[in-house]
Amino acid sequence: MPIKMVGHIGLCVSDLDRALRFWCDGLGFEVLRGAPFYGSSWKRVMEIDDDLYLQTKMIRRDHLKLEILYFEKPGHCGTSERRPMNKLGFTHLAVWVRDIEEVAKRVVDYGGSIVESTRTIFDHPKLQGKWLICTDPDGIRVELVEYPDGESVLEHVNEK
Amino acid sequence: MPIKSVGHVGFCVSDLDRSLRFWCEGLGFEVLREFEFYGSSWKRVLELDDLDLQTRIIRRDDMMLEILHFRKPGTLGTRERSPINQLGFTHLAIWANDIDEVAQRVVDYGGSVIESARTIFDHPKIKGEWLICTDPDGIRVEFVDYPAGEAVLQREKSEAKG
Repeated sequence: MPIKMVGHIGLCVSDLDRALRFWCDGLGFEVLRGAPFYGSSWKRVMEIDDDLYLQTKMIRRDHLKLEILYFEKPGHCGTSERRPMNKLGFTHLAVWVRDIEEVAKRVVDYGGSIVESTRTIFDHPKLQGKWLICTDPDGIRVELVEYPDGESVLEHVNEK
Repeated sequence: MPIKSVGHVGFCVSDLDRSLRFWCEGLGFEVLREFEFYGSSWKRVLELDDLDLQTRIIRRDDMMLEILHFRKPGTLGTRERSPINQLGFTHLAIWANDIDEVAQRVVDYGGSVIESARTIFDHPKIKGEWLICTDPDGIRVEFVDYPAGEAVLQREKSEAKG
């Protein structure tokens, strides 16, 4: 196997300071390092034809590393609207919380949005917990889950 | 801090078997759990009117991913890779030690190699090779053979555990 280790997942943002405020001040990620990328070799790697000036920050919380990408040049494309869950590609980040109300408030305080219509309480014999979908300032879905026993015991529980 | 822990990052695929073949057999992820989601509460959470979703939680090293396959209502979007400067999650980075072998493996297991993006750096400050690929649904996977960078990585890893 020629693969050594899985690293990080990148995310492209429209405002670096706003993104750092949300992910670090709001959700508790820490900045590990930062680096700018420019020049013809990096343009080739990133398939960017125009001028490239990219600022990045590697951030980490728990086991997860994210690389925030802010394209000063050539700017970004796409919108900050959240994408449908069933659109091909990356969909969401799941976050396990102790107090969903407190985290929801935090999300708003730090520049994200909550999608109120998704707020759902499960109260079945096999599944008790609270779910709420939020977005970061650029529309990335963050799924908040308050589930006492955590991911390890989440089972197939559905209602008809 | 009212947050316990970050969990997995999800991605939506058009063919579950093909994706499992790429990610697990090809890249060495293991399947941890399988779930099925349907019913009105999950429709509400996922903002979908119709729903029959199969998922697999997969892990390699410290990375947990959730593969989502929507039998209903099916998928949106295309299998073309998105530009790296499009808002949202952009790519997954993986450290490798033989880029030619990786490229062969990616193709063998249903992904694609973007040959035009393949780049060797040979400067005093950076020596290494970068290879951009996509999974069967266009997700960018960046393979990096960069020994000096790995020293940084190992240090971070020991800090995280310490």
